[in-house]
Amino acid sequence: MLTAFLFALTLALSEPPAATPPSIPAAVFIEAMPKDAKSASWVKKNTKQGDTVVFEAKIGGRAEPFVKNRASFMVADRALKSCDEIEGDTCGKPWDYCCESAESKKANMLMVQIVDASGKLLKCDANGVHGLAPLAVIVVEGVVASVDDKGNCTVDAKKIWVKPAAKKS
Amino acid sequence: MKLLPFDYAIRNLGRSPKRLLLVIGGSALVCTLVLGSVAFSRGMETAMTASGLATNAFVVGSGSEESVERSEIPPSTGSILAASVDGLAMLAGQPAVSSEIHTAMPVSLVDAVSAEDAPPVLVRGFEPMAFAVHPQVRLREGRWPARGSDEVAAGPEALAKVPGSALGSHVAIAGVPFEIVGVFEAPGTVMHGEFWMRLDRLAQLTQRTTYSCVIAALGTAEIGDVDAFTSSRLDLESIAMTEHAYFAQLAEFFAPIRLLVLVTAILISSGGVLGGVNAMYAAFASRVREVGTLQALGFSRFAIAASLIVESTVACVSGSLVACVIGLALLDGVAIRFSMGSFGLAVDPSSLLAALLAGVLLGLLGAIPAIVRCLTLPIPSALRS
Amino acid sequence: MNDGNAFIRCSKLTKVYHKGDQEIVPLRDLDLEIERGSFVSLMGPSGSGKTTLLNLIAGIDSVTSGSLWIGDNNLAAMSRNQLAAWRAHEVGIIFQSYNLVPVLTAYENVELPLLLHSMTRRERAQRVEAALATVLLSDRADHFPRQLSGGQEQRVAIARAIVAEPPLLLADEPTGDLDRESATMVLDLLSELNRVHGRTIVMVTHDPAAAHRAQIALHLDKGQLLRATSAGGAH
Ligand SMILES: Nc1ncnc2c1ncn2[C@@H]1O[C@H](COP(=O)(O)OP(=O)(O)OP(=O)(O)O)[C@@H](O)[C@H]1O
Ligand SMILES: [Mg+2]
Repeated sequence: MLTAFLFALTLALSEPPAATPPSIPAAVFIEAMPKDAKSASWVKKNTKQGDTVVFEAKIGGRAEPFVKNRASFMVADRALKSCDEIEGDTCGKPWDYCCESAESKKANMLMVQIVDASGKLLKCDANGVHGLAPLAVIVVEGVVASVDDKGNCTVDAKKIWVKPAAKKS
Repeated sequence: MKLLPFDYAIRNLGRSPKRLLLVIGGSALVCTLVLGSVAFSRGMETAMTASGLATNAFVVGSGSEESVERSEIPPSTGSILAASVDGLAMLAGQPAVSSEIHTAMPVSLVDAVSAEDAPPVLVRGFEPMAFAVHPQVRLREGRWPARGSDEVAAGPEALAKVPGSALGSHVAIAGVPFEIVGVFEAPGTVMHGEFWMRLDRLAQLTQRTTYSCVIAALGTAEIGDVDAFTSSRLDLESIAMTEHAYFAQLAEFFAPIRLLVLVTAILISSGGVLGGVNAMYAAFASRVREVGTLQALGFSRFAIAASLIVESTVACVSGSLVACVIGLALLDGVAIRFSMGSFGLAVDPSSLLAALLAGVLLGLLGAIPAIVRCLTLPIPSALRS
Repeated sequence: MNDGNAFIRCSKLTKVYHKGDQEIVPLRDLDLEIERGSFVSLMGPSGSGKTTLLNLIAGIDSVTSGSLWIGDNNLAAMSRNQLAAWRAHEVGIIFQSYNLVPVLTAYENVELPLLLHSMTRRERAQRVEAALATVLLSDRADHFPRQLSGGQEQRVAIARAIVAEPPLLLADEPTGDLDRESATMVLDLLSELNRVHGRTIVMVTHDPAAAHRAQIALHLDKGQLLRATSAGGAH
């Protein structure tokens, strides 16, 4: 009786693990900062689909910059000031760039995503992975997946360098 | 610990039928109000849950997550979404994507004497794809409005909000007469209390160039796919969540209202509390000498307090039973109507339990003043009174 | 403290009540000894402290100073709960106004004190029936107090006081509200309980005829014991 129970328990516990959930390959994150990074707004203005780009940006642009369960997030041009860079601002979510106009947001934000070998967006969170977080400064090496004159731009990141968080003095 | 017989507590209830009635009445009032407010809360919650499907994606303008009525998204959103996200449910070869306008407008019967204080009713602009994403909706009578026509269909609760309206009658919406050509039902959901007209007609009527939302049946797609899509389309300025999540946060948004209802109920019922406690106090105070006698015989104050508490709790719980009967007979399903729809009071186990608990609590707490009065008196003084 | 073997021993017994800043001293430095098995009447003018003394002996009021021993119990040193438990076993109290519980029948009223004892329902029934028989009210067991005459009520109260067979009975003007005939019956009962069952009885009364039934008549005045005379109680 007990053995049967234990056997069942063992079976239950040793249930074949579900196909390992997708994750962002560690190789995406690099230690050395790529050189000659452009700005996010430059990328939006001066590239076309398929172009290889290197640009620097800051994660943010809306209250939830990271898409849940997808390796996709919004970044903002470094020229824009996030709320934490504004003296005396007490914004609860300083990465939402709430002080910027909709127009300047449209011109200075773009989406960064990480795709698998077949070009499909990875079904996993990017938030918290390897230092990716709201307000993190990153340099992305990637390929423009889509860009249009309506203000949309998505870059497939191949390599990401995350600027080490500055120690608060 | 030697206690007084249960019988003693029960028989004491019969000593003053008038006071007993006061206590039961007061408790019944309190418990009915508590039951009503919990039923209100539960009804709202149930309607929210029933209205929002977890299998639908709900796309609204960013910043309008809390109210689809304020949301504005480009009319092209639906078609772009349909073309961009793989795996959405299909109907007749088309992705199940429904573009809608939701707006609250005063609706009155044409020829109504006072159209001015007509209540706002939610009017939804729909396209046939709406039926693919709102399986809760069934046509009960008549037919659906035709494209571009001055026709509406109405949910039963919407008809109830416009006295005199029925299938075939004409209602004025934004000053334009519309014929009610159909009656639909979507029981338990907010749609049960809406007017539906065709999307193009409502856009024209309200002079809108934007829609309120796009609702898509996810099929094999996941909400993350739709979220990734809306996130990457800066130009659409929209955000995506499941329809279920939208209504869940809407319920959250109404939490203060629910709290207000509960607090109001408690405030109103404080009259009942005072009346009941007062009657109980009077009932016990008239027995000070008897309580002194019981102590003189050797019963502990604890035993006497326990007996008094049993007595008051039995009386108050009788009140809550009355409240439960009232709730089941009169309150259950009573429609609460407001601009974004309607829901029924839900006299369910949790609201009945709340009423019972209120009765028990009232019995326990209500006895305290009287117990303090009876048991702090020295025995000789009690015996002399 | 424990000199002699008197049952009730008061020594320098003082009771002070405070009413605002006013001090009322119904009993001052009272010395008193009552032998086991005696029937004592307590007389005195109104306000002389008779009820106060009786309440102290009954353990329902607290001693201010002095000592009060009953048997082996030092009442002055006992807590409220200890006194309650002691009362349940050692004292039966009879009040002037009967103090029956109106929602309980005569039977249930008499049964009340037994609920404080560990007894089976059967044992209780036997005791209650015996007590009701003693007061000649077996046929009224199912009556509620309002269905009884004053004299009958007082006899039920006596049954309640004796049902647990306490050695000490205390009565505060037990005949005060009764007509002569009922009063005589109650006094007969008390005498019998004293003589036949050996109960120690302390009875407060205004009625000299009632006091005459006791063996010892005490007179209280202004909190002092004036004299103790031997009454004619012994028949
Ligand atoms: N709880 C109390 N607080 C203040 N004073 C009290 C209290 N109880 C009794 N007294 C006072 O103590 C005195 C004695 O009272 P007690 O009741 O013992 O008199 P008594 O001899 O029994 O009188 P009566 O024959 O009228 O019953 C009285 O002056 C009374 O007012
Ligand atoms: Mg007195």
